[in-house]
Amino acid sequence: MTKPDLSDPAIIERLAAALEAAGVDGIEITRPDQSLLIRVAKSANGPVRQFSSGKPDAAARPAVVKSPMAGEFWPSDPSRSGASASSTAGDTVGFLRVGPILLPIAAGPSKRLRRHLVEPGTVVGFGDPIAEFEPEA
Amino acid sequence: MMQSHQRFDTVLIANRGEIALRVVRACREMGLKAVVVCSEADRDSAYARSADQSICIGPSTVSKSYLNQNAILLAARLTGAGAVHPGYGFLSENTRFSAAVEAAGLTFIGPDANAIATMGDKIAAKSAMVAAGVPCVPGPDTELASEPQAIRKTAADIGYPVIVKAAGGGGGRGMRVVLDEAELLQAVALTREEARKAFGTPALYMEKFLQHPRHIEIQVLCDTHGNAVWLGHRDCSMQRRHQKVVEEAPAPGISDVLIGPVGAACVKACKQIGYRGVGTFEFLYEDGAFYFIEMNTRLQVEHPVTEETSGVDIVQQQLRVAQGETLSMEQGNVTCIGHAIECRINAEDPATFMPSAGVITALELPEGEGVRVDTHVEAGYKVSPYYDSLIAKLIVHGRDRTDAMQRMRAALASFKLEGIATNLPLLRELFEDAAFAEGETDIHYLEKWLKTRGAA
Repeated sequence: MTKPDLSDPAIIERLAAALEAAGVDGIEITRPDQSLLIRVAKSANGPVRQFSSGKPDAAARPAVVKSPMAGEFWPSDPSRSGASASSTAGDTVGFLRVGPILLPIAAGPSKRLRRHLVEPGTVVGFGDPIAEFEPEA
Repeated sequence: MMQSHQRFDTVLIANRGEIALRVVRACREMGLKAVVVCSEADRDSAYARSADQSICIGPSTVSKSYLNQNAILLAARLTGAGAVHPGYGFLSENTRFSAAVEAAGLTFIGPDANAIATMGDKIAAKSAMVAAGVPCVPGPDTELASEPQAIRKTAADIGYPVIVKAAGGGGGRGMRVVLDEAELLQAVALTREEARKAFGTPALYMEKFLQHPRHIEIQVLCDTHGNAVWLGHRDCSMQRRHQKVVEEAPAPGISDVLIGPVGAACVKACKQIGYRGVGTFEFLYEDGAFYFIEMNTRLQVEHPVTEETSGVDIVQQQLRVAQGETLSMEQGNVTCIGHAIECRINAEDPATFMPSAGVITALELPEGEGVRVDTHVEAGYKVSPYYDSLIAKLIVHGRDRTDAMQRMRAALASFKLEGIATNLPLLRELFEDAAFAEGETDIHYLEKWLKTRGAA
């Protein structure tokens, strides 16, 4: 089987449409010869909401990342022992195992992980809160 | 025929609202675990939480949740479900979904993709019915010829009035009634042109036009071992814009002698096409004759009236058939007793029929002997604008139709729901109508009645 050309606009378009339909905000494919990163532009009611409250004390409240789809939550890559998700700003804070795919969950900009809200291996649904972040300074 | 016999202990319910709760109840009574998938709008509903497990699969929009086949199959995998119950609507009659569920190694609680496809194709379904001796609307099950002489002959053979329909049409569009030969050719030419423009194909077919039919349907139940029974008949003539409002079983004024052979032919058709699970044969009925219109290859909204009269739990039977069990009854054991009526309680304005959304601030459901309410709502429930307006089904069972009508009047009177508009006032008024109380009104009756009372 020939490998698909990841620079083919038609393939990129199809992947982007599939991500949007599944409510996923991005995908990263890496192989020896090519790599591809797609991020779906978020609308106001987009699937992933790293929100902070609009109330005056919003800065004091922790921000929460919600699950972009149903899946099994893992704080670190379950296939690699010791490869823990980073807790630094903008990095991956966990993974969602969805069938054979491991979907990284990003913290978003300037966010430091305070704690995970679900146990490793828990089945989470779309929109379930999975991690809490320190409020922005 | 594809037969899925594997046993399962967990059922994923790919639906929402009252029917999701109805399937949860059947699972619980059979010792099966029930998983409910839900959208963001339904995630906090008590009904979703009442299942053994509920999992939110997407946003409120149905295309991203209840119609999202991949998300549903994924949820089945995540929760370890062995079977998928599609309920009604949504993906319940989707051949691709039935096939995808089976391809994923799960049991689809419903017929296989081939049976759904055959019954979804009007010409194929009619051919299958003719082969089994099910009475159909007079007219050839082939495309209408284009030569004037052949068109005249087809119409004359059927007998006027006839109806010319676009083969690719549906939903009441692309059809024209022809009363006599003088207007035939022009009507055909106009319909053909409309069909070409609207449906992309000029293909037409012609049938007998029934002027004052009733909508009668027959419930069937089939296992995967070649056994099938019919569980009596229903009358669903009380409709507005093709939406059923009140259903009852049995259909009033139709003798067992008249409908018996039709029921037997439906059973024969099921056996011939290797049908499995529950299904409904829909007929138009006029002047003592039945005319097949279509088969619904799913559990129907109005199944409770048949459950009440036949004493058969249709949803449990679906689960048993899907487990590969043999039907526990033969036709001789099926006895229908008394009369049952169902009212669909919709969140809609009783005068304008506009859907209403909002919070139910108070709810008191009718109770008592012979009264059943299938609902997922409670006080505090927020009726979402995203979905069908059905919020409850009120079902009564009496010793005869008069008794059932009286029970329904009392039940409607004690049904208290505040916070949103519902069709309860309309139903209360309808049950005071003399012609409806008499029975045997046709499918146009409700719309005429609404016009005369100045609504809609």
